[in-house]
Amino acid sequence: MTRDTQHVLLVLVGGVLIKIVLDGSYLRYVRPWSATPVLVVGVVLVAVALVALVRDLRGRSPSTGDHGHDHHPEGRAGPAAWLLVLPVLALLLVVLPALGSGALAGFGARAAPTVATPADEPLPPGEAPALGLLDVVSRTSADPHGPVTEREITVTGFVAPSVATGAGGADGPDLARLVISCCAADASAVRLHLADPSGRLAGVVPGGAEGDRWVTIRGRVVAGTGTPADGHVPTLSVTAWWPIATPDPVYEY
Amino acid sequence: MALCATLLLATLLQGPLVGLLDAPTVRTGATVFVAICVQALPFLVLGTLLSGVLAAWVSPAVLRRVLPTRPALAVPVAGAAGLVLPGCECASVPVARRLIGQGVPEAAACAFLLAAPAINPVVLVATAVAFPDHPEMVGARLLGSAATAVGVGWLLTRVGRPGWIPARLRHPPPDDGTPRWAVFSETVRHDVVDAGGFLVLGGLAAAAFTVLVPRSWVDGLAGHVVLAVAVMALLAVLLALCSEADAFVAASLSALPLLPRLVFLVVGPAVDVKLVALQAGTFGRAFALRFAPLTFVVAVSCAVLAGLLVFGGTG
Repeated sequence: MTRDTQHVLLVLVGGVLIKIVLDGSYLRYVRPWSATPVLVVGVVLVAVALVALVRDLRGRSPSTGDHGHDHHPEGRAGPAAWLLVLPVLALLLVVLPALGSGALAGFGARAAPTVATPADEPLPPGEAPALGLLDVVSRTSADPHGPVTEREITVTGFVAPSVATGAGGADGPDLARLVISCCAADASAVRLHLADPSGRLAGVVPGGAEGDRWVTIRGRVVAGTGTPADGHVPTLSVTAWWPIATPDPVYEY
Repeated sequence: MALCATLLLATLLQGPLVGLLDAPTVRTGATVFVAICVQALPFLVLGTLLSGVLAAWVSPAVLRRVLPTRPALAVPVAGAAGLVLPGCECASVPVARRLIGQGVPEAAACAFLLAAPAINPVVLVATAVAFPDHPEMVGARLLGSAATAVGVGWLLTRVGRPGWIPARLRHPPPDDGTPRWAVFSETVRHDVVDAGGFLVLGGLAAAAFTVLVPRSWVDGLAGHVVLAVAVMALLAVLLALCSEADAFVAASLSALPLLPRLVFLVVGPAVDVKLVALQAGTFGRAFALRFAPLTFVVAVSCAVLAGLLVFGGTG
């Protein structure tokens, strides 16, 4: 790859990194804290490419430890450098969606690790406070009869086929969300079983080819669920639900 | 010219490319691939920035004064330097490459390469957060990874051959009157182009394994510790997770005893498909083909020993 092509490619890679931070789509791939590093690196890549371009035009020869080395004369790079085109294409042309239920098939199916939560951690104030699925699972894991089972809560996720294993009367589908700790490559799943004693869940089925079906659900965690017996998947007895657009950010952290 | 043609062709084929993504596995794999690139590129560039600073402002003479002359002593000192550099594996490759360029013995540079991503404060804190019920995991990881870095370094001083690394890597930039900032900028640019493609290659492999490795690999391993150690060591290589994230993945495999999960944490930052690709691109294929199996064997052994010592069993 010639030096000129390298410069253009670096400007493209840097530009695409800047773009995904500015339009917010970086949240499909990495955690919010990555915004600054990704943006800074985008600017650095564009800057070093422009510096090299200008110095080449003014006839200053490049100077690195590999100056005049044998197998890539005149600052040419090996063919592997072409692979840098792939992420540029993937981010510019084929706007890739965030991970969803498709990730539940492979290694992402394993349950997310719970976070350490005091057993008597009180719920946030208000009627039916909104909790993350990871928070609910962590609370029931700490105490399956704790405060989280005493009031109604509101949770958000996408509908997934049930993996019901234990008791609790899980006659509905699951509500799932993906949790990422660094980037989408380490995504793992967090789930609640949906129990439907009053027959309100008609129409709440997993999304098909058109995409995941996101819902917000109000209900109460059935006391005694979310234990090792049911694989730490608590059962939520549903009292109301409504469809929502894909939330932003799409993952829990 | 060729770049224009590639971009044009891809634009024309956009329809079929997008159609291919209808399959959930392909779509998931593609997203994971982009995620690995977006996550790893900043760390790679951080490494090249440090590499640029070394090339432009830290002369070989300064490094010679800081490091002990005897390689056997330089190895643990370089390994300990890894404690303070909060980077992950992608960042340490360009830095280690530049250390060699500035005259640091290869064995010491490799000890740094292995130690920096495994035992820095960020990784140790992440491990403590991921294993709230098993704080001993942090000590076991520190011990296992430090032993791996120093062990591989010492082995290299005994069995390493100069021919494994191309001679061109051993020369600092010539002092030809180029301004320091220009040396810095050109080193960063050059290192990113050199290593970036290999990072993408490693990301492709890791993304493919992430969607193709079935969860059943780790189900039902609980009663078979030896098999579990082997599978987790292999998974660490194939999944190529960032060392900041791997503790959370290990924590999520809660059916397994601690020992196989420790092996996963010690092997991952030392040798995985992304790293092998990066090292092959940076240090040459001859080096990567010898370094990867050597590191794998040493890392698995050190992890098992550290685990038995700290957990007093398989955990």
